[in-house]
Amino acid sequence: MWLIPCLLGHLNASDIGPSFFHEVVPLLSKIGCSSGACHGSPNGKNGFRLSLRGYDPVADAQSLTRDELGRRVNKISPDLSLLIQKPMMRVPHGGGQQLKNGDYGLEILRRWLRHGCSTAEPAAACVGIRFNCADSVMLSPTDASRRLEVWAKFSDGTERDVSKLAVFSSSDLGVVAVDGDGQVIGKGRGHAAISVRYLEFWRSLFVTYAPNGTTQQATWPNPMNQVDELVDRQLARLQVVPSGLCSDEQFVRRAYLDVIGLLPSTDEVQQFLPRTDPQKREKLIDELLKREEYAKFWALKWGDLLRVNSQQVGNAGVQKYARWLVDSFATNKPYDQFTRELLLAQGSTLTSPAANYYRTATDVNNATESTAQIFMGVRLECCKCHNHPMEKWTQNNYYGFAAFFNRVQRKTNRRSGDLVIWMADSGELNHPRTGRSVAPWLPGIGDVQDRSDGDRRAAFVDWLTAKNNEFLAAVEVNRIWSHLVGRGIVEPIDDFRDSNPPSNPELLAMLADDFRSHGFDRKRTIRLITNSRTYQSASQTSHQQPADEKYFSHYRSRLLTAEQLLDAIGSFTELPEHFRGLPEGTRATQLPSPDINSEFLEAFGQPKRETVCQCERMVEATLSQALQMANGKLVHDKLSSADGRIHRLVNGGTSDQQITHELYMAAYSRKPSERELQTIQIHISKQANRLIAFQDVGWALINSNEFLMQH
Amino acid sequence: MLDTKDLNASTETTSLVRLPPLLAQRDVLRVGGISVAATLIPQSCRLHAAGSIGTVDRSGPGKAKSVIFLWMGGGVTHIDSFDPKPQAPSEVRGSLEDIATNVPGIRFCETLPKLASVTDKLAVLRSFSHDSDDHLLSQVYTLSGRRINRLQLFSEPNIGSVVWRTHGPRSGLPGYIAVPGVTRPGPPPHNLFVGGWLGSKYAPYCLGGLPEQPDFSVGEKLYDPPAKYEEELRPQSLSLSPDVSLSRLSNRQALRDAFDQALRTVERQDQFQAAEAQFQNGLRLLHTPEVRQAFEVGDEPSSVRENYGRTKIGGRCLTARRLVEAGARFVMVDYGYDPDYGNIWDNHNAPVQNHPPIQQMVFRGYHLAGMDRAFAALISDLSSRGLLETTLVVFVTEFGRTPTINKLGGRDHWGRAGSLFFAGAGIKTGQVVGQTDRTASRPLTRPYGPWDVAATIYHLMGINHEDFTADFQDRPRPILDEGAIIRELLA
Repeated sequence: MWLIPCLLGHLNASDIGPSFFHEVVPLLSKIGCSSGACHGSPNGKNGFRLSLRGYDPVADAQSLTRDELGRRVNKISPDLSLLIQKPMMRVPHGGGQQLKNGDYGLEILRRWLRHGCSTAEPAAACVGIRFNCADSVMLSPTDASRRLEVWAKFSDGTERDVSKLAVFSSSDLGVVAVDGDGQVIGKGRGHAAISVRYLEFWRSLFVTYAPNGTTQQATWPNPMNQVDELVDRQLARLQVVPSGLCSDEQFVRRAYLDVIGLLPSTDEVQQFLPRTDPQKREKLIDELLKREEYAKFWALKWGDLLRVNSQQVGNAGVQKYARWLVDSFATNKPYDQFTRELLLAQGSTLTSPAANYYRTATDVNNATESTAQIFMGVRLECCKCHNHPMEKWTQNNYYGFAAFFNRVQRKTNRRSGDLVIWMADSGELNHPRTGRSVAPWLPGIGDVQDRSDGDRRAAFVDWLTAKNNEFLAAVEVNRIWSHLVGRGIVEPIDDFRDSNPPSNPELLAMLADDFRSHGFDRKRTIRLITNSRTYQSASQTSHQQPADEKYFSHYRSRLLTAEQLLDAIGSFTELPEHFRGLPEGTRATQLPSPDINSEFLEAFGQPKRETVCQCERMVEATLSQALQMANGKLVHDKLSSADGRIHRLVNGGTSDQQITHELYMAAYSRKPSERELQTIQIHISKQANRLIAFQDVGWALINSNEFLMQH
Repeated sequence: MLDTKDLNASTETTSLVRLPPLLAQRDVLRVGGISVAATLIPQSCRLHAAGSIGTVDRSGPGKAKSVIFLWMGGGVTHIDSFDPKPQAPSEVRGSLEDIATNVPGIRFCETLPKLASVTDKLAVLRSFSHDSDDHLLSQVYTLSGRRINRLQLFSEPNIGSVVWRTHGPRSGLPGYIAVPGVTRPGPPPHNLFVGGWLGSKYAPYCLGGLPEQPDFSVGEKLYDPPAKYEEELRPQSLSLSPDVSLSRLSNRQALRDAFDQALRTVERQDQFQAAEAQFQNGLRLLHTPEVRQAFEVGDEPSSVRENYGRTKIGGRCLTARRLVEAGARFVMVDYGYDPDYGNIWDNHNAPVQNHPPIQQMVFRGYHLAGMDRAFAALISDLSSRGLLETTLVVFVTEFGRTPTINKLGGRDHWGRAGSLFFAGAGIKTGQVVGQTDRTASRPLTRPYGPWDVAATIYHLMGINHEDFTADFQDRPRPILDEGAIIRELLA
């Protein structure tokens, strides 16, 4: 009996039952056995270990047929095999029931067992997979479903339908769902990717689901530039009508907060509103981009990504590195040059602050992963240990990239707080699985030979900053877009992958092309976006924008960031926060690092800057935020201080109406409505103490969503 | 993907169902009368199949509804408390005697007379052991249940954070509350009460107390300090300023609601709704008498106060009981590093510490004597209120102390052996688990580490420690990297 598999291994496929490599292993992945949470975890589960998603079938053959004295398979009575009993829950199974009678998968396993559990390598290898349809599919309520077939091509020229063995997934289950047989079903208006994996091969296609035409008659606001044309094209496909322009009041508050991080002062609002120049919005954006607050505010965003804090780079390092960032934004340093300076930095971190890049990236793995995440929008860390399940990046690619950074060296010198980054001229990285040294590798190029001039990183940086590089520009314009619009075209912004497609690919491509062909000019991109109707649209939605969170049909209201909020409270009360050890007048949106330990900022999600992930900045509302605003000492003290705006106004002989007017301008950049004036007048008249009454008004204003949010 | 219908279907046969991420963020759902804990499908699992994955959790629903985690940072001496060695040489044993407890055969050190009278309600673990003598590492070991390195001091979530993430808040109270959450080991002072990779929103809600208050333990070290030195444990964030009464707060709220009419159109957006929900939650906390009342230990009858002791540790334990009674899910009593006094449990007796010899110090109200009184009162109080059946009480310290008393009359760090206790829901009490050698230097029985303690707590809270949760980047993370349920402790 034991000899049979070996003998049969030489016979043709139909005699040995299902192929272990081409059917059993993909099946175990499809039904979840070899997933990372189950037996595919590094230590397996309950003593049974499979390679993650079947990447190592040879090892899996061993664990299935040999380990535990072979009791997982019973060739004589297949149904007594643990391989059948466990997933059918005939014996206790922590993973629950994954197979039931009648399942295709069950039949495969039974046949494989009955035919003697051959683990012979198939004669013809799989060379690729394809869908049986075009790369994009349109669905609508009257045509809501489609069955996708996946075909695998083998080295002997044959092709087979592997749909029942392939793993399907949807990038957005709200838009389109897919079941195990490849049946896709439209669920909601939108655009999503369906990815499929079979063995190590994957593909994805786009599915658009939209109701049948209903918006032809609706009035569409005019596009103001290229951005709007591309946004509208996508919205038309999805039958969503965009919102019109926001008011000047909304625009001035929005533009100040987005471009320089601060609320406009009441004077600034009053200067802007009455202007009749049709170009006044465009001019305001230009003025804001020239201000030093612009550079400081955008340096703060990059400080988060580059982990600028004293624990990472020391106190002196914080000042120098933050200064370098501010200068880069103030001089509008081209982004390719900015990237080069960071990635090729060497020398003392005190004299060449960009070298701190390799101080925060403490080793070769960290430098590889950080660089991929920040500049390529790729979260590569999974590939350190295994191939990405649905993606093109492999473990080999990881080490190919890492080889560029392997020779970066770090040493201390006599100056306290300094670290010297230097490049060794030798040293190879070994692949953990093969133990062999890995050559530096680039997508589309392959292995890279070392050049005579030494610095290995140069080849990587030349490739990354080349005009035709697909990553650098797209990732940066997407980041800028997300800062301004509140959501990336690719979201999360550092997770570019085929199974996470851009919500508007043409828009992303246009922005990236424009960025590349105009010298990687970040201010230009900011102008392009902020001068669009899309950016300037109202936050109000209509019934024709059902649940659009991704396609930019309206402005996406969002909470102010921790720093913006603290500055806004300071500006509203005329009591800006002082930060010990920093120059007078430094705003929270201009802090070089989070080292000041502000309870308020922490509560509102200021990141500690321990990772290069944008997601470290918490944007979720929490209870402590609510308590800080409603009952916190900082807010209370600023509202009730005798030096603050409310005291000044109440004691300044100003009328109730004038005070209300100014408070509204300071908080919301708009005048109060008649009804609001009335509400406040009634409130004031009921209170004995006018000062207390206006403190209450101040409290209510800054606790309102109109203050807390950008809209 | 599960929709609600699927969820109903799958809960008929399973008690714990993995939910899709959107649902998992929310509180425990009640579906058809069965509590569905919001564990998560890890990313890897979600990617693998489009169909629903209803996985049974082997541990089933937890026996404990609440946890009181008595976290004594600094390293409580085990020989002078739960693991006396009357037969050991005098440099180990010192001057203290052992005493009988109310369970025949179990003896404690004479420092714990009150706990000795409730030993039938305790399960003492004498084989607590791990590989570190370092405060910070072992404190994070015990807080997180993970064997971390120095770079992970702040990156791993506390046990309470995982419980909060999994089960959500309850009764309007945050899912993990630290009383008072001020312990800051160092130098420099470090805050180890973190949500780590779960995100800062899962860091414990710390009552904080008042940092400037005078301390009863400075000056005359009284066993029973006078009431005027009681610790203020009302959280500052819930204490209204003298000039803001509740009625003024209501006025303000009414005004705010009127203002917000203008923005009604954005209400549909998720972030807006979440922020609004938290705001209402916060104001409810401020307004709800029952919740605010939970912090008013002053409302307790004087006799109850005396039972716990009018000490910091007494007040904290009493607050913990009041919080659990008000519905809190995971409460940590944090005691050890005192802003006024320094390191209470870390009795090296280095000259700068200015401690009396450890075996005298143990009788002071802020040391073992106060702990004995407070813990015993907590156990009895929970028991008489019927709360002990649903509340798991765990006494944890990061390590024991050196068997041999040092030249200065103190004891140093000792990761190899220490004593903890468990009580309440799901625990087989009136027993000692594990045994150390004749000098209490190392376990003779199977050693149990902080990961085993954490696995046991998770198990009793209905969380399978071998499961995965998701971090703030939505990547799968194992609940624990290692560890096993300490079966001997279970009823």
